[in-house]
Formats: sequence, structure tokens, C-alpha cells
Amino acid sequence: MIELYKFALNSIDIGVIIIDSSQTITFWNEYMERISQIHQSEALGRKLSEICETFKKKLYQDIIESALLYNQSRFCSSKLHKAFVYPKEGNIENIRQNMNIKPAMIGDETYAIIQIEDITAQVSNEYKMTSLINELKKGYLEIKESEQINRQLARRDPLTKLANRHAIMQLLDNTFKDPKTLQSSALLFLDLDGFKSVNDTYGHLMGDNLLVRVAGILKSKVRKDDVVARLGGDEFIIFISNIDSIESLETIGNKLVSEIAKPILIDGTMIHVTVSIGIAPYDDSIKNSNDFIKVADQAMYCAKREGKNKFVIYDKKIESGSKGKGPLTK
Amino acid sequence: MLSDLQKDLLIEILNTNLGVAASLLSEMVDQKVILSLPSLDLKKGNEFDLRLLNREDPDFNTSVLCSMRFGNDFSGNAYIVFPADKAKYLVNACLAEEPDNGDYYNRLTAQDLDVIREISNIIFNAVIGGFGNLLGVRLEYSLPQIEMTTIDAMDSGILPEEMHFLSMFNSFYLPKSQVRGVIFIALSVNSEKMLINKIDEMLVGIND
Repeated sequence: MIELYKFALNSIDIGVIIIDSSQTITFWNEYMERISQIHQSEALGRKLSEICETFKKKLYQDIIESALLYNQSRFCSSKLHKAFVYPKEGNIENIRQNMNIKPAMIGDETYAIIQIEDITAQVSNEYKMTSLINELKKGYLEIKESEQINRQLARRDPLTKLANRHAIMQLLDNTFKDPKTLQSSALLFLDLDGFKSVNDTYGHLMGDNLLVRVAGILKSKVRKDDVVARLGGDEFIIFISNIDSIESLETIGNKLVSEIAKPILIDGTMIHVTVSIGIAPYDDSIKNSNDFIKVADQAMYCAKREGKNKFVIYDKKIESGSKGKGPLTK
Repeated sequence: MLSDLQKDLLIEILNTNLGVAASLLSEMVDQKVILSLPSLDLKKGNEFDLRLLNREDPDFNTSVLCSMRFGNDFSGNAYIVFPADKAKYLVNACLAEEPDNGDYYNRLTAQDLDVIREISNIIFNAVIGGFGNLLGVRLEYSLPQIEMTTIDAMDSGILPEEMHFLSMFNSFYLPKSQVRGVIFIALSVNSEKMLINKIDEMLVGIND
């Protein structure tokens, strides 16, 4: 039976060393021979510390003594200790081993059973797997970032960098789900006067530059929370929230009309344009985003009809064909 | 179940034992490690509710649980629980690696768990070995087992009602971190009596 046990211990893929209370090696299995390049005949009967340098250290002497004197089992991890038994020759830098030490009382004699498990391949695989996961995470973050940029680009007007039609429609649709914000909001519809003649006279590049400059002026003249969007061509929309009175809308309208009317210097050429603005303060008859834009658009056409370079604040008379009551600027 | 005097003496004994463990850990990781045990309690199995941990600190919901059996005249099971994200922090601190921010639970590797297993092993040996010395009995110890688990799973799976539980919060202080864990020891009724009798005996000696 003992032969069978020895055969079994020599067949397993874990290093097994048995030492007695004087730390003399009484068993050294074949796996130990492979990882240490030390034959059984060389190890048996010798002190453990003579065969393995590691066990000369106080830390390991204490661990072995705790097993032999105090019956204490002990696990030692490769991450804290790296390895315990090294081959006589070859690269030892990457070797990683775990160690278990268990005491055993046989009759009056105390032994310590030392198991050495070589986990070099596991550690290496784990390292590769972690690197792979990190690479995948990095790739995932890059994709997310790029998606985010694409989403932003899809919502921006490429020329002026303002919100585009899609973005402002989405914003308005969302606002209609929030009655509180809606109640104190207003929509401004702006159309440049004389933009076509700038294009015809100076070319489309100048026209584009003018639109960029107008976009900048509009952005600079409203609050940070207000949203300026370009619908297309020379049409802009401004969504204003938290307005407290019609007078404050008149102040904004006056400011925008007078700022756009100032000459704009582009590439050495002084350009003159003006703007017609329709202002639609929200009221309960406005049921959706399209309605909101429509009434602001109607007020803007009223401003055009009244001679341009002005703003008109929407009221019901505009819809029925009468003139609006927006104050003139000039 | 324990008077204040009994608790005070037990805390003193355990802090001495943890001091031994801290000294071993300091030597091993080559940096100062302090282990402290501010409080402990002894409860019957049916009164011991691990979910209280979670209520006190939600970090414990997902935890690393290390356990070890010990036996002979004084017998039971010892457990250490660390919040999973803090466990990685403890590993990093022991290896003097810079902690990074992020989802530590998902980054705990098998090697990290082995480090926690070894740290727990050292603490178990010091605490249980200390009890063995105190009671003058020779104990047998299993090797520690480690697993990732949840408080609910622990509460329903590992706590035998017929045993009594000595529970203690402990803190690891390393140069760049403080990590809190919980040690609890399930004792057979006889073992609990042995321990309390010994403490009472010592208290009588102190009072005399």
C-alpha cells in the first residue's frame, strides 16, 4: 500500500516535500525533481534549507516552525513571494509558485507537508487576459467617444457649429413634455434681410463667412442657457426659456436687430445686412414644436412685410391677417 | 452575552494577537502594517445577522470571504470578510502599488484573491493560535478557503444557528490606506464556555 501512496504522490503535478521536526527531508516527489532539477537521492536526508536557499530566510523558518511547533497551516501566495524553489539552471525571473504548508502528527513525530504549486503558466495567461481586457476596454472607450463625437456632429450645423434643425426640433419636442419650462418660454425666428444680394455680389464664400459671423453675434447676445440654432440658409431660431415678461422679449428683440444691423467687416469688405425677427411667446394654443415654429415664422413674415430690420411679437391678429403689434426698432 | 469587563479583556487579548499578525505582515510586505480591533460582540447563531454589515456599510454587499476550520478541544470556524472593492485596495497597498480608480470588484484576479487568502491565513493563525495559547490547548487548522460572495449568500449559507459568533470589526492601516474588514468566529457552545470561563478566571486573578 505504501508503494501505491508513493506512486500517487510521484504522479501528481504538485511538488510535495515532507520534512520532519528537524527539517530533514523525508520525501521529495518527482514533480519536485522536475522543478528544482534536484534528484530525490540528492534531497532525501538533507536539511530543507541546504537544498532550497529560500528556506534559509527567517520568514520561511518562522512559517515552518509554526507548522512543526504550533500545528499551524499556512498558505503563501505567488504574488507576495513570487517563488520558493528554483531550478539549478535556466531563467528563473518569471517563475511563480504558491505554497501550502500543513503539519502532520504521526505517532510522536511531527512532520510538515510542503506543497509547491507552479502557477507560472496561469499567471502568464492571466496577465495576457488582463492585457487583452484592458485593450478591449480601451477600444470600447474609443468607440464610445467616437459615437459621442458623431452624435454631437449629427446635431450641429457644420458651417456655424450651432445646433441644427434636428437638434432644435428634438429640444422643442422634449420641452413640450415639460409644461413648467414651456410656460415661460419663447421662440424667435430670424431671417436675414439682404443675404441673397451678399451671395450674388461677393460670392458664396463671403455668404458663408457672413453666416458664421451672424451666428457668433446671436450666440453672444443671448444667455448661456438659451439655444441658438440654424434652420438652414439664412434662417435661425433662438429658444429662450425663463422669460419673465413681454418687455424682456422686446429688449432681446431690440438688441438682436440693432447688433445685426451694424456693419460687419469680412476679409476687408464691409458687409451690411439686417434681420427680421418673429417672436412667439408660448401660449396654450401652441400644441407642438411645429406649431411653435409656425407662429414665430408668421411673426417674422409680418416683420418682413412691415419693412424688415425689425421684430414683431406674435399675437392672434397676425394669424387672422391683421398686422402685428411688435414695436419697431430703428 | 459578554459583560463590558469581559469584552475589554478579550479585546486586549485579541489586539495582542493581531499585533503578532501585523508584525508578520509588516515583515512580509516590507512596510508598516497596523491591525486594530476597536470593537467585538458575542451573539447566538440565531441573533447574528450578517446583513447588519451591509446596512452599516453598503460596500460589504459584495465581499471576499475567507474561511478556515480549527479544531480539537476548542473548535469552530473563523471567517474574514472584506468588501470586494476594498480587497483590491488592500492587495495594492501590500504590494506597494499605486491604487488606481475604478471598478475594483471586476479587477480582482485569482492572484489577488491568493494575497487576501494569505493575509487572512496570518490573521487566523494569530487570533486562533492566541486562543489556543490562552486556553493551553493544541489546535489543528485547515488551510483557508476563499470565495467571492454576497452578504445574502453568506447569511443563508454559512451560519449554523447552533453555534455562537464572536464578531469583530478590524482595520488594516498601511502607509497609504486604511481598509476595514470583519472577522467573525463561529464557536461550538462548549468552546464558547471554555473561552468565557478562562476570561472570568483571568478577571478574578486581575481583581485579586
